Amino acid sequence: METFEMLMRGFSIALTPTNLFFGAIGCIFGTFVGAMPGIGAPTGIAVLLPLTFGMNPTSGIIMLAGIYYGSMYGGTITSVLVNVPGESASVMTALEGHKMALRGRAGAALTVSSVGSFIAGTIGVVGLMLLAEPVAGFGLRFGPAEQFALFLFAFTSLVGFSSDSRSKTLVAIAAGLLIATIGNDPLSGRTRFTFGSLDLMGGIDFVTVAVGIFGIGEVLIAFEQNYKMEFVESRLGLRNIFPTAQEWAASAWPICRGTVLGFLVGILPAAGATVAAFMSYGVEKQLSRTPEQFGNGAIEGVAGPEAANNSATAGAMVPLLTLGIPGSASTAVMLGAFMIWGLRPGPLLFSKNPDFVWGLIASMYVGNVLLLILNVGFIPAFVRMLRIPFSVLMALVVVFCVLGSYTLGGSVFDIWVMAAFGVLGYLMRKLDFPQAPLVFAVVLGPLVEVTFRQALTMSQGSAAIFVASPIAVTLVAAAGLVLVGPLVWSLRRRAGAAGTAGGT
Amino acid sequence: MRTHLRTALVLGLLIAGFLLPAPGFAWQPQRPVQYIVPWAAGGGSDIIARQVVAIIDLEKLAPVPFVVENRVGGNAMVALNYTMGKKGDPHVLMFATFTNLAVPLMEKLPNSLKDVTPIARFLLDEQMIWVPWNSPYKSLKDMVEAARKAPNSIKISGASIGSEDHFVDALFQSVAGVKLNYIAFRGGADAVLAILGGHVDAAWLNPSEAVDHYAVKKLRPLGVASQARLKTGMTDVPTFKEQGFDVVFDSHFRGVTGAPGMPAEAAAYYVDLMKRVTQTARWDKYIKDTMVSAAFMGGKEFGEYLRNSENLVRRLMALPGVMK
Repeated sequence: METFEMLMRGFSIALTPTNLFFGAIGCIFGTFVGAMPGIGAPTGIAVLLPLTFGMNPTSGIIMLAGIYYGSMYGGTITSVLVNVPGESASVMTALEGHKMALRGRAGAALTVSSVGSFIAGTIGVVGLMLLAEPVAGFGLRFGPAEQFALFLFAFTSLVGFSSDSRSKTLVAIAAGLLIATIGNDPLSGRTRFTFGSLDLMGGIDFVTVAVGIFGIGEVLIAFEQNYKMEFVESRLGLRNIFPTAQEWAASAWPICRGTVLGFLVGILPAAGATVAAFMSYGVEKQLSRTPEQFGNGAIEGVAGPEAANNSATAGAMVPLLTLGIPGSASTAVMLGAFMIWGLRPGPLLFSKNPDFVWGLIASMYVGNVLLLILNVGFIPAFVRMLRIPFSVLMALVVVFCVLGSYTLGGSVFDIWVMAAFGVLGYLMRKLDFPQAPLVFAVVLGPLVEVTFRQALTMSQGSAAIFVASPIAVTLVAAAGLVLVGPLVWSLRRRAGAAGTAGGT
Repeated sequence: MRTHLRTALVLGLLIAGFLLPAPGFAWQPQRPVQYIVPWAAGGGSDIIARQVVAIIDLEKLAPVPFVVENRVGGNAMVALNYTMGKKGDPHVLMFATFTNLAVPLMEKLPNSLKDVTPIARFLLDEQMIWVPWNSPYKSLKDMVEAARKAPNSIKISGASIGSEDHFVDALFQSVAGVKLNYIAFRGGADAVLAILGGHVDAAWLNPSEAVDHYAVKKLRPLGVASQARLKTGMTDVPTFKEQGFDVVFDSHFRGVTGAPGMPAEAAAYYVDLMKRVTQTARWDKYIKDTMVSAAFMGGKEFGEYLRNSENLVRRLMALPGVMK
């Protein structure tokens, strides 16, 4: 019951008018930052960081944490409305959510994702509170080899569960990995594939790739097909804003599964919200009775990943608070903020600064409630954005894309790269190549490469390291099963069909 | 006699007046100062840069605002090239760390950190070897003996190739005459994870990265690779030198440089300004909180230090097996 007492003390800190005020500011700003492609949570936190220098640390961190999980809510908005993911964790949401918007179900997609995010965020905080210490040890068992095995599993599940052509999925992944190698070699510090260009030395950011492929690609397709969104407009009544009973029923389990999966993945070093969302998408597609719906606006594909990316933010707080190790860019910036306030997150934080830690945890509960009210309250307004004439909306998407890629590093070069990926996205759509695996590979490429090389350096070149620990061997086996399983399955079915055909 | 004295006095004052610039006429920035940070907002360097700006601001040390501008890319080379292009501009400063110094040498680029105007070194971050609490190595000697028996068998984690961790490791290996298996991680945090999880046998970590794990008996320090022991905190940890290994690596600095060819009086102004920043109570607190060592060094002296550090890096790069 000690935990409960501490939590109550935390609430008494989080609910003071000052802290409530800064928490709300953080949540609103976070939603905004999350919705803007190019400005992610790390940038948002960094920009507001200097403002917190004069504050008391608890108020400061409550505000910054608000930005962090607020951005996970916000990333959904542009994904669903205009198919431009505002955050890397919202890429999967764009895939299904935007299709739903085209069917006039934008409101439903946004509501389900807000409610799912709320449930996942809240349960995630409960997890953080009760499991922080035992679970931190679990994360540590993931060394380079185990992490690589996890990524391998994530990739093979993309191929194995894909409804698109497997070979095309593989090509997309390979292209993404190749793009990810451009620029600075993360381990040796040398540059690769830059052709002497200083602009390429920093590599190609996934935001430019995602914004180009999804945003500009979408615009190009729209121009070609000259499609209109009138059918959407007719369905903007209040009744259509909220999900139907059927849609709720379809979302319930994906939200639960996404929550658990997201929290566990969030704890792991280096993985974070993006990987959590991708994996949740794969799981839902696999478990779905109607996998063919995926890619055409399946609500499960919104509910699961959105829940996963929110509980992952809570999960990522575990290594940050208990070990002082940031699992993502956002938590890395927050670590910097802690340092400025003279707090060193790590094994001593809970005992040395209980007011701070419990104030933060309590504020995460409060923040999730704030965000739920904020988001659901504004959904009618967001959805009305779709009433903007189609030609204007498309122009806005282009503006978004250009702004987003420019703000990343303040370089015009990135805009050109984004435009080039727009053309690639268009071509991929025309040729039926899946786009998400490519973006996923760009996001994970550096991690895959780094962990693979580290593992092999540790074993001095022996690949046995990938099956040397129980975790690694399980994941590698799972990856093999996922990859080969469906293939064997379909071969057997075909053989069976041929057998019966031969028999008659 | 009296007239002589008076003449001497007047003359002396006149000469002194010419030699010492009167405060009212000294150079001062005329417009907001651009403070280029080569790394993304929120990183370690960015935070120190913003801390400096906050102090200038709060203590009203300068007549104009200092504006932090993150020019990210090309492993800090975008910022260096930008600053090189601002030749003679007295309103452009650039944050600099060991990485900015090492990258141009590794990439064999025409410009390097010695080509910009040296302003000030703020602080040093010490390099230490850490092992898990239950490690069989009680001292550096134990570790070196084990490495002699089985070369490449000891896995030691640190930041990427070309980082301060990697170079101090190279120096240690060459001084001790052993082979360690250096596992590069993307940053200190990942290196900490690897050692806490038992995936490596030792790690190069800065004091602040490891101190709390020491307090809860998860990690144990073997030595500090500096001239002297730490001045605050873990003062009982012996240096490498005390243990018979002449490994002194004091190049992991953070500081500030200016546009090349900046007027001497402008440079002198910034040297003085940065010195005053490091004399504030706020700065003291920051240094203590983050467990780095205050190590102010200004102007020419800092320039000399940069050249020496470049020479050290070149020497280490030339060692066999270092730049694989």
